[in-house]
Amino acid sequence: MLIPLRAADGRCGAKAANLGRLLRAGFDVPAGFVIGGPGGDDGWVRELESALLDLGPGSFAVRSSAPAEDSRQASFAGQLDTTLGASTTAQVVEAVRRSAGSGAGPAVLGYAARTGQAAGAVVSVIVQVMVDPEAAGVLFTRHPLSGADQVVIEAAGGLGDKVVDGTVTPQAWTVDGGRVAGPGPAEAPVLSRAQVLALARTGRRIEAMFGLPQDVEWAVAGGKVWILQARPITTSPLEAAPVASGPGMVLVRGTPASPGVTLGPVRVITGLDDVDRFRAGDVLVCRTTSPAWTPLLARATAVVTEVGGMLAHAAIVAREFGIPAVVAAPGAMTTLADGQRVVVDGGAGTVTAATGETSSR
Amino acid sequence: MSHQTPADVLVLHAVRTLGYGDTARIAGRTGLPEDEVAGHLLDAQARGWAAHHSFAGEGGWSLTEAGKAQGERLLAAELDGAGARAAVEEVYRDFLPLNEVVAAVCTAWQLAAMGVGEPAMTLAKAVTTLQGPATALAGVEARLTARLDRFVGYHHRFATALSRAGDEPAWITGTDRDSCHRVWFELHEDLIATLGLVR
Repeated sequence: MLIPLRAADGRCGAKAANLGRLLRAGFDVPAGFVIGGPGGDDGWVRELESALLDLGPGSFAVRSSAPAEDSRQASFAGQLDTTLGASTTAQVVEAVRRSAGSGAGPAVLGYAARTGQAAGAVVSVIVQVMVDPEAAGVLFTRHPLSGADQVVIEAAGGLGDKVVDGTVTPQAWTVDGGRVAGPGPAEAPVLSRAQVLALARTGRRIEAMFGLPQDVEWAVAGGKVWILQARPITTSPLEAAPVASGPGMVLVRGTPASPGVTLGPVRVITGLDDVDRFRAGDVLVCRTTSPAWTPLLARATAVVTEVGGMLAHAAIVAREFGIPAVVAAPGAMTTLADGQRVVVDGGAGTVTAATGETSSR
Repeated sequence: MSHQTPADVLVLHAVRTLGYGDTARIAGRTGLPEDEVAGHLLDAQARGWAAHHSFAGEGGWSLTEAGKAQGERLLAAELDGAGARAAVEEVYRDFLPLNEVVAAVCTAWQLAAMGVGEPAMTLAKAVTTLQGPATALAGVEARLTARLDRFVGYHHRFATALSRAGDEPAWITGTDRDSCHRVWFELHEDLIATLGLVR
């Protein structure tokens, strides 16, 4: 029931899955674990005490990890259900229950309706060691308003929660290559130039790993950059209207068969005579796979098949290569257009139009 | 004595079950000399049945759709010529439940290795559970090779992979070696090709 954060995948919700992937890739993420669906039975309560002891002394941050895609707007409701500084087991239990309940809140239900996802899905809850930062905040690997290819960092002294919920005006830096623009001389900066550059580098590495521009919550403590959360920037400047600012629309839905979220161009491969059109980094879209497809899977960024299940050979091979897989996605070969850029979420079982692109083709 | 498949058909069929492989690997699978295999491959290429691809610098052979169809015609003629169709169909029916077990164990083991999966599948349990299909595979292979000699080797390869998996888990589902899953996947493809089925 308790899953180490390092092992978290799509079943643990997008937030935990992303943190698990960051941990496995060697980023500094505060230690923790995920409680899968604590709204159900109470088995997790018995395991909690020893799990907290394993994390060591100190206080904990408790946050929900909804199964739906974790955009900043969508997770606003989640912010209300974040508990920082729980220190006793009883406090953590109470905080976990509160976070788990957030999955049925009106904001979440509204979001689920917009994205066509099943509402009231089981919410996982993340419990992590709290870091005591000198400074914290958010960073974007694209300018959140202009869309320019710059890293924008917003920071405040201390915990950073005030930056996230927008109740203080943070100091802001823009990093464009090696050029750094920061707050005016009147302000005492909360970050050094070296820290700003280190944050920008970390943001770029996270972006490269996920293959999408990222929106990252971070903290600087003891000379280290800690990653508290990372998610794709799902809004583009052209989609600033509230109705359109959700994540891209779901084009195809199937059985989630291998966790992970990646972006790439669709390549619909109809048969053996078609395989030479496939390029490394493509999203392989096909009916099903036989051994002849293994070299394609080896170079694919994700795979989507029309038939099969969790136990399909395609799913087993995809997991072996560590790429997201969505199987049993009816109509994938006709709905998805060759060359169309899509985001494949192998933990949620969805294929979504990439940011700034619609279903029109 | 069971039916012996001609060398050119063996080569074409090895490309089908391997999916993709270089000449040396195809020779290894057929037990034929490499230069003879190379000749058959060039012949198949000239007839539009096989294609040479280069993925990330490594060259290898796979079938074309025409080659796949040609292979199925040859295998069907062989199957009926040997009077083996009913027997192989019966084996395939017995294979499917075993296939479920193997796929389920491979999946459970992969999920456990990722830290999901409940109840957690341990390596020891995965290896123990795969012993059942491994033993059954000996019988499956015996029934097949009584009719068609070319089915020889699957049990030995699977058992070898399984015997190594306890020390090195990659032998369960690895794609870079003759792992349990890869051997099983190839047998599945072999049966599908032999019976002219669609996945």
